[in-house]
Amino acid sequence: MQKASFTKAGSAAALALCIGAVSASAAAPASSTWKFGVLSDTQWVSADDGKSPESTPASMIQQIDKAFIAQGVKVVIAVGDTVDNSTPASQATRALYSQDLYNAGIGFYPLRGNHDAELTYSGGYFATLYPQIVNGGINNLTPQWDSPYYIVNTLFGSADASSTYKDTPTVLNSAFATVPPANPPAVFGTNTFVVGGNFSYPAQNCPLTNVASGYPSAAPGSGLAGYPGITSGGGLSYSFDYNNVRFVLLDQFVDSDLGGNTSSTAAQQPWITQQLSDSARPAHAFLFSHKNLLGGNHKDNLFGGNVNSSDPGDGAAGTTAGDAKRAAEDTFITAAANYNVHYLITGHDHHHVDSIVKSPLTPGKTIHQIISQSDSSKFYTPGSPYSANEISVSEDLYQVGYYIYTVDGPRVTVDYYSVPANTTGTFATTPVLTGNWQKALTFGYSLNGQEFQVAQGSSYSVISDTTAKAIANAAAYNESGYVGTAVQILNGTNGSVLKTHDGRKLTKAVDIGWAPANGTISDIVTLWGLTDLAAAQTDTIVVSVSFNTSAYNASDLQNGLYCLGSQDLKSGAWINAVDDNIVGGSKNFVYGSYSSSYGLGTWGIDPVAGTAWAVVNGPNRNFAVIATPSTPLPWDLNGDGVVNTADATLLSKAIATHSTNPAYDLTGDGVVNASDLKWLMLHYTNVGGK
Amino acid sequence: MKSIAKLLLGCAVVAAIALPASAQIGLSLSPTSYSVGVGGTETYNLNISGLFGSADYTGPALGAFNVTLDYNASIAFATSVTFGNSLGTDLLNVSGNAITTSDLTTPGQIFLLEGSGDSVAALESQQSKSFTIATITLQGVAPGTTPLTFDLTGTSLSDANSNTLVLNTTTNASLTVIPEPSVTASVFGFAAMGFCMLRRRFSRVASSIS
Repeated sequence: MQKASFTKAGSAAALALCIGAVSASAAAPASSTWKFGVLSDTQWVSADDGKSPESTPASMIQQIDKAFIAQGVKVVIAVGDTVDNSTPASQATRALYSQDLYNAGIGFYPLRGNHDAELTYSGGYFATLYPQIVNGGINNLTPQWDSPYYIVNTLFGSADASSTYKDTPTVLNSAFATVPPANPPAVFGTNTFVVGGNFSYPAQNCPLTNVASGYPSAAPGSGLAGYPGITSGGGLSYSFDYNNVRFVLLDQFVDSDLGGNTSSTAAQQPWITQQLSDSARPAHAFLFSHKNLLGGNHKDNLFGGNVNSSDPGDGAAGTTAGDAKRAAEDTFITAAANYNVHYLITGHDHHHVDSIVKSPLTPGKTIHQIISQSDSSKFYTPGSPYSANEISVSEDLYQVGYYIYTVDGPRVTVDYYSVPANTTGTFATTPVLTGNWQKALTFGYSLNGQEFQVAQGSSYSVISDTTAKAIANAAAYNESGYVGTAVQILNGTNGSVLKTHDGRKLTKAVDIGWAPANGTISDIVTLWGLTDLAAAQTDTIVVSVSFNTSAYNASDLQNGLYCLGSQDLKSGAWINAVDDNIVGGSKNFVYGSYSSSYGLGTWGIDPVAGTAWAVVNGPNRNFAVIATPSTPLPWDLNGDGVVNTADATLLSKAIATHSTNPAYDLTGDGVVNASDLKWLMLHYTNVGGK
Repeated sequence: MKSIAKLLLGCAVVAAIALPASAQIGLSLSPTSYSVGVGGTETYNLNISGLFGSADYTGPALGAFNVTLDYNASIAFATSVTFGNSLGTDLLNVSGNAITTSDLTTPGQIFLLEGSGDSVAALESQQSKSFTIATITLQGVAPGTTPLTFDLTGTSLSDANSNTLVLNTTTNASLTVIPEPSVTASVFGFAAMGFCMLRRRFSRVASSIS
């Protein structure tokens, strides 16, 4: 294993052939909450519509990058198939459209997919175009490209005259004379910056040395100098740290292998395990690859091609090749599970999937694979065979999408945004994404809480947790102020009827996270995974949170001056949890324990159990015991204490007059429109809003 | 004539319902053109189509909408708006808890808004992929043709879960106002009378010359 810390441009010493170590520290930013973005499969397979040159959906990339910039991400990961055709011109075009991120000071880290590896020397070109993956994280030193033509013909062309390495100048010149790149981003930031540290790469797939694996040894040109911009050795698999996350990006490919069915993942496993087990590793680690563990459409996976037609991806039983795949996958999943890696984030299938993948050999070892929604013009439909080792959590087909991962200490929240593609096959015109993004799903996990799987028709009452782990690890996560709290779901059934495309029932993966009390009476518990895709509400559940009732005046407890609160997703305000309910029952206070006869909207204080509880179905995720608010709800627009048709009438007038008053933007999407009206009506105090 | 139009409209609705799974969400007016005499009225259907979801292949359902339509107020004016189809069936208001607002007071503009009070499950089960969400009646004022067009700055759609639905297509309409038959007859009558008077005068002049 080699390590290097990211350093400033120009100061990195050139070290040869994958054995380099550059010593410069990269101080982790102090911010406790920060974001990174993920996009996938930026492939344009239709004819260029004037916005998508060289099989690159340039306009779509720019629109997604605009969203990343607006969301304030620090790092963006592209999980492969950055182009549809890995000619130098295509790869260079795709690299050109990374510049918006560089200019915004955002680190861009791609890994290769099978489409990025389809030609000879694709790996070398990839490393040249993204020097940050081999130079240790300096990410705006991309070659001085005025155009893909310049890159391919001047940069590569001058170093190597062989047509093996480049398209002919005539072809490129002609292409870009008639179809100039669509609105190319401003070229070239002048400031360099450091994104992370502890850069590392395995020897097994170094593009500059590993001739036996199909990578060039010294081409084009001679040695490292033949790949302009590469000042030190590096691999196409690599890892680095940013803030409290270790990013481990895996490249399994060999050049000139379009299907990518030859995989070096197993050979890289010692390095992968080392990255996860490293004592210097930050709290979180995420694994990234292009291919999945168990794909919906593709049955080839991170460990190679499918063994035969009955192989769902984790190896056909009774075959030597299948046994080898299962053994490799077992080692991979076990290492991830042993070192608290929650997500393997992939692409390749051109749809969204969250599923729990079980080791085929070792019971109890699992990892979530997040197959990232693509940013391509083509879409795939899942098909059999499927593995019994997969538990499906969510699935979304035929969209364009991106992801925001928000890291808050030990807690990670994932927001999946999408725009309908309106086709099940291929579209030929660049869609308008900006302004049309919808947050389709939110999920997450925390290092200080547990995950529970709840099958359809099963009770949520298996869910319970305490802050014991959070308190024990508070110092490690730089947290303090925990008061000691327990959460339990007292009642409720997973009533979802959603299935995968092929009819497999989805399972709820409910994750719990803890944060110290902060203006609340109890510690704050987060419950992820209760909401279905695109749904506004959860099943009706009874959430119970403990607090020290003996510290409060009994009459105040009896009079409902304390309650189970939830944090409004838009404003961040703490409200009585039942006020978040959707089409919501009757608001009724009970001083005593919960009874199954209590309906939606009932809330109470149980002095014997020492808990505050509420019957809820709203989308808010954060719960804590709070002093019952006396101020009107943010969406009680006339402030009369009830949310009803009078508020809807006010909002209707605001919509009719094109109001921009943020008080009426109840969904928080920046506009006042029909969605706000529907949101308000979902939150009526009484059914019907009377 | 109207029955033919209704038949065609029915065919159009059937065709819309049979849209392929990849249909895009659209708003349309039907029929796309009408002719009416001055003082006469015609009613357009405001339709939504393409409610195709990928999550479970049953949704999304329409939960709320606001639509703004523009027209030429010197040729026609809007007399009424009803929510739901011409039979009074409103698929956003089965429970009777919808909130509806319309405004026809601004010359040349029609504003409609409806928010459903029905549950998510009810909306998803009671709606089809295409249906009529409102009817709009215009009255002819003066001869001419006015377009009836969607004003996209004042139009938005929400699904049952309060997610914004992307509007992919709109189909506008027009109204041609023709002179009324009585007016036409008067015009012809006056013209004929004038012609006769001129002819009589010319014949008098001719006879005096000869």
